[in-house]
Amino acid sequence: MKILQDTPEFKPSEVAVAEEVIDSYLKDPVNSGYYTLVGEVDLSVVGYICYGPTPLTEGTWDMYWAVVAQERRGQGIGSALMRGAEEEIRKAMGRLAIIETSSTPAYEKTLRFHLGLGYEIIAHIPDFYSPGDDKIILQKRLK
Amino acid sequence: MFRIRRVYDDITPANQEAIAEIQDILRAQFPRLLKRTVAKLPDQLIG
Repeated sequence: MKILQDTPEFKPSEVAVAEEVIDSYLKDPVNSGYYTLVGEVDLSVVGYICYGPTPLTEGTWDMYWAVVAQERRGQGIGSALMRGAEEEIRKAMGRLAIIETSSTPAYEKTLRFHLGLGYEIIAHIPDFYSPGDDKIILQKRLK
Repeated sequence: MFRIRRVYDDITPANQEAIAEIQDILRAQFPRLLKRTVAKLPDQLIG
């Protein structure tokens, strides 16, 4: 999942994956395997998070996306959405939350954000997305 | 007042509106992402 603090331009491959996630959810919100929480202020959506159980695992969940409206950033909404999703995962007997992100400078804030929420870097795959753009995998054990 | 809620489906007007607002946020922040996806949204909601 990539919370994009600075709205970096997506690569074509990222666009394709994002569209797949969103399209799948919109076609069948209940059975898509994607769960969505929205954050609302006075009934207006100010952010959302998309997550879901990792196929073929027991209690492992992927955190796919979290986006906060530009004008609402820095107000703790992203953190609240992350904690809300973690709580929902706990209720579903989930035990691990997994985040994948990029090593590029555009995602430094994202990485710090997740580390601040208690996620730990558990894997680093060099040149995964493209030469020089590594995949960083973070994990949080949900108690 | 800030609150968080789960969107379970796209059946109720409130959820339809929430999904549309999500799309607005995405459109504003990721214009390339939604060139195709936003256009599909009404059909998918009706379906």
